[in-house]
Amino acid sequence: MKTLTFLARSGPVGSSRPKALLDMVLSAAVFEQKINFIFLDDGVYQLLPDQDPARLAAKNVSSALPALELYGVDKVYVDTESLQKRGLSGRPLLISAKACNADEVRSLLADADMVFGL
Amino acid sequence: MSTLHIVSKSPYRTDALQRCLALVAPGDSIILIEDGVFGVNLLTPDLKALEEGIRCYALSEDLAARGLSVAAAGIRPTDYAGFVVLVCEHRNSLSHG
Repeated sequence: MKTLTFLARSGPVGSSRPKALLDMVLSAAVFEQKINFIFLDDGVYQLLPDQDPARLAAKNVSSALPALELYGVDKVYVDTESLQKRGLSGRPLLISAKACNADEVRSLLADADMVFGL
Repeated sequence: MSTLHIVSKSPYRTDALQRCLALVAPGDSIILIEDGVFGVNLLTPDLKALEEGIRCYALSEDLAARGLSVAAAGIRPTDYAGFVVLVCEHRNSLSHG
C-alpha cells in the first residue's frame, strides 16, 4: 500500500482541475491506498458551502466532496494560513477537514510515495 | 475619459488586482469577474489608498457560483446586464488577466 498525497490548490469554478483531482482521489480510494487530501491556496474555496455554479451553467463539483467519507478518505486537511489570507477563518466548511499548518503540509509531502497537485 | 478595469484572475494566484490598482484613476471603475471575485476581501483596504470617485463592482453570478457574497462595504454586486451597462458607460475597457 502506498501513501498518496493530493493537493487541491484551485478554486472550484472555471476549470476542470477540482473534478480531475477528486476523481483521482476517489479512484485511489477504491484501490485502498493510504490517502492524504489537502486543501490549500485557492483550493480552500472548494470547501465553501452554498456554491451555486448553476448560475454560470456549470456543475457543482464540491457537492461531491461528502462522498470522500463513503470512500473511506478520512485524512482530509485544510491549510489554516490559506484560510486566514482569504478572510475565511471560522467559516463553516462543506466537509470536516483537519486544520493544518505549512509544517504539517511539508511533512505530509515528505512522507508521501506520490504527490498530485491540481 | 473613463476606463472600466476588468479583473478576472485570483489575487492570490496572480498580481492582476495589483496591476489594476496601479493603473486605476479617479472616474474609473473596477469590476471583479471570474476568479477575480476572490478579491472582494482585499479590495476595501487597498481602495482606501486610492482617491475618491472610483466605483467598485463584483459580478453577482461569479460570487454566487463560488458561495461568496459582498461583505465589504463599497463593493457593489452587479449582474451580467449591469456589466454590459458599465462597459457602455465607460469609454474604454481594460482587462487585467
